[in-house]
Amino acid sequence: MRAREPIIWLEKVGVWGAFVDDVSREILMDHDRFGNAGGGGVANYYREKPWREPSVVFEVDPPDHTRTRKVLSRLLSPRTVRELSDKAEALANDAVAKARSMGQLDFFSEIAKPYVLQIIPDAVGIPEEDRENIITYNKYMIKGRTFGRHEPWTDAELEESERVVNWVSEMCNRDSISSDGLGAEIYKAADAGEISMHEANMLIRSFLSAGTDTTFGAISNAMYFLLSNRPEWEKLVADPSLARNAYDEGLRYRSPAQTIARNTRMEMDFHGVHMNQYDKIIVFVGSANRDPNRWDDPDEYRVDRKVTGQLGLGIGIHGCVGQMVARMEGEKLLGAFASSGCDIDLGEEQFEWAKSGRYVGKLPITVS
Amino acid sequence: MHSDGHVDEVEADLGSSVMQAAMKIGVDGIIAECGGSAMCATCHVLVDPEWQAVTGERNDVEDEMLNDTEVPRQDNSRLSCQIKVTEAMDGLKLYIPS
Repeated sequence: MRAREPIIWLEKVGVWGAFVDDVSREILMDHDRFGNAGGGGVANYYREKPWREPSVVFEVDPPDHTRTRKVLSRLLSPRTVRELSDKAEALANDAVAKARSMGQLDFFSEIAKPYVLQIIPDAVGIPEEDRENIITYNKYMIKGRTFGRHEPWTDAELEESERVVNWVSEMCNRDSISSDGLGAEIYKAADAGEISMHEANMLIRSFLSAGTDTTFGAISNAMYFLLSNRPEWEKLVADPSLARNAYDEGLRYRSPAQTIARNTRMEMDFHGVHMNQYDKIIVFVGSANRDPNRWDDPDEYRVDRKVTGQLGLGIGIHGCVGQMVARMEGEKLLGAFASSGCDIDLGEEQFEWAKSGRYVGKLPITVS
Repeated sequence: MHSDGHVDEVEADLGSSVMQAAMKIGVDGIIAECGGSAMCATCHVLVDPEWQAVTGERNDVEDEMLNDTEVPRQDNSRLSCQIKVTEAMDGLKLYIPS
């Protein structure tokens, strides 16, 4: 759905909505007028209690944001990407071998998920066991800040969410993580006074939350789009160097993050409407990424499209800080499969979207 | 100006970034993979010394990222996504590092 007006009031939810590319871009790039301290979802932290303590990097504005972002930028820089890429390539080749030996498998749970869960969590330095808890935590984090959050939670949900919140909290402690690695570096930044100890603890949470299911979800999405648009898969097989672009185009086509939240920082007039201070705005980047005013044939998935500037990772000061790592992970895994020489096809079994709708839930493929 | 001497003349919208203006006409050497999030260091430019005052100071995150450019940073290095276009920049001279 795309409204052609620049900005509209979504009565049922009580938020503003932007659906077109140029207005979306304008909002996301203007952190003076549109801030993040109101929360990263529909829930408005100026008007209701957050489900969890707000993110110290994603749900804050400058100058607090600048301090924490700077630390993450340093740790997720192109240099770190280079350091991680040999490992990623080795894991990607292992994944191909696994797929070959299985013959029929679910790409999402057997390939993409374990691959990604061995990269950032290892780099941060958390124990290997029970990493599934991160994914469960994210499920509740989304639930807690989105449209359905006021519906009663079942006892099972309350119990499970408390368990994973405690687990994540435990993982963020300095004595849970290895003494070298990105997690340790975050605490060293606190030692040096760049950020507080509490912020360091919270940034570990950000790392784990952000560097997992969105990434293996996006990789699985891209694989689904490739295999279901056979000529595009053939193009990639003929030229595996397109893998990075194939991943990015997948994000344009259907990003795991379909929406990005902002709040007004002051009362203002904007494109003909009057907004109150601290009104919430939902930028529908999934819609903007299909805007025909910005993209030729937007509803076509094309591996060789010039796709820089797509909005699926956000832009501006809150643009995904891990995007270079994510692109590298996507490039390595998709590239390994494309250059494997295997015949790869969609499986007979039914493909499914995840319950959250954010990404593929099950992607049966055959590999021979 | 590029290392081989050829010059791209760019028209920029006030309030957009120098990177966005460069991307509009596809200036060689400005890749801007992260779309302006100060995360990729692929929009690296060198500001002509005469214009450094007008383009202003590097911000903290930008300064961090400039340690990771493909061509090593110099005193007049900037990430072009962090330079906001103003009226005073009419005639701004920038060099693509090589």
